[in-house]
Amino acid sequence: VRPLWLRSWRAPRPAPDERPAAPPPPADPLVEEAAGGDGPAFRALFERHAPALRRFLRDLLQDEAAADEATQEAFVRAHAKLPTLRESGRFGPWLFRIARHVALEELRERRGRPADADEALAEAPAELPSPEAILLHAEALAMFRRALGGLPEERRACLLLAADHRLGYDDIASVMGWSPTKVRNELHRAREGLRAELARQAAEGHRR
Amino acid sequence: MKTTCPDDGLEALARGELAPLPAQRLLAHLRGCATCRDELAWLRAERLLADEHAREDEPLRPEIWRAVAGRVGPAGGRRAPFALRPAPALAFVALAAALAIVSWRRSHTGAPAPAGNLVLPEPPAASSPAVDSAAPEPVALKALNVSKPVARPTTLSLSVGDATVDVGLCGGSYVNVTVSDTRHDAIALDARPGAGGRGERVELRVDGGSLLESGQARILVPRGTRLEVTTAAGEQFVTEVTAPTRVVGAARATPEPAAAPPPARPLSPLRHPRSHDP
Repeated sequence: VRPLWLRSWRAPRPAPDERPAAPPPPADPLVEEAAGGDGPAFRALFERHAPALRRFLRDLLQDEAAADEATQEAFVRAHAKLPTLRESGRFGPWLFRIARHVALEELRERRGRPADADEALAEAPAELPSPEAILLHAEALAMFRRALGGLPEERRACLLLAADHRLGYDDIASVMGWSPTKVRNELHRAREGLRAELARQAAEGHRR
Repeated sequence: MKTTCPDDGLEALARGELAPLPAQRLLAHLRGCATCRDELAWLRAERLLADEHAREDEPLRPEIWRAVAGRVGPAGGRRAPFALRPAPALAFVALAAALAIVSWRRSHTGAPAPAGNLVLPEPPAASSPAVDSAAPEPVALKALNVSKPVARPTTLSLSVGDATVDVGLCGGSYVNVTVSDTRHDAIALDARPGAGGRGERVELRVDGGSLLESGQARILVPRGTRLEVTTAAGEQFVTEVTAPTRVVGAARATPEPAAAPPPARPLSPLRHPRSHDP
């Protein structure tokens, strides 16, 4: 036990989960209009969010046609549940959460159960190449996509939400149903897996 | 990453979203920490690749929205609120449009409504065949080009008090009904071509009434009147007028388009006429 003077020297930082919640985002009038039954407003929401949502679903499902179907299903469910959305400013994360549930149902149908978190982790090479070397690779984007596809679903979703869809920890936590601490940990592992897979692909490319 | 390294901020810095003061502190730390510099480089690479991943994404197929709209109702509008809230406004004005024409036809010689570049004048109030003097508020109504095949985008405009209803008939492909006023949220009814493709036909029907045609009339819209909007794709929307009201209507034929119109099916008469005499 540290003496009192030492304890008071530096106030302990609150754990991430204990930090005060960020203020709620401002209300989104378009979402409120759509929740009130305004068809054009709902269509505008679709136009605004559907491309990113479909990309998210395509990246999760790794299937173009299934992503189209899942996008459709996600918006139909969102339409039905819209009046229950309490904070219209959080429509985006809320929609991603619905979409992920749709994707999980599809994945469960495909394989019976979701993959275990560590099943698909790439073997980390002894030494990672530099990120600049990855970026300079002629097939950097294809490698990135393959590496994403190789991640377990939960980590892939978590990483996509952070890297592609720019959601913060709190929003990712709400989409995934996790604590912000778990988001941080899973994101860290997802990045490790992604980098290991990128390194593996880069090494294979050099050997070829 | 060492225990003295900041546990957050690198991501925000990679995104360019860190406030100036924390960014300065973090940059000072980065000068002496190769681990964090490496992590920041990876985060920036990840961001660049994710940006490119999004940029190279294929455009959304329009069929997705059509499928969504087909499942949730017209244009994503909500059916239940539509029927419960501002629906009466839409109901009685759209109904009024139909009944106005019915009344006009009764007062006319029975010949079909003239087509072509004709604008009918407003009728005098005395000629109104059906006016309920006890009705609460008179309602103005204008109907445009609803008796002929819809060959190009056109609008059926109706108004009730401070509410406005626009029924857009677009080249036989869809009907779009919008109600907006100062008291209610805007609502919309947008029946787009379903899986059957283009050339959708739209019918506006009322109990015992007839299809909207050119004409003008003053009519009564009684309480309990049901309005049915049916598209050729089979989508049907029913609502009910909850209070009797008067409707003053005028329907006009719009000019023919100069160019040959695209093929479109005519609006057909009612299939289920029911007795209704306002």
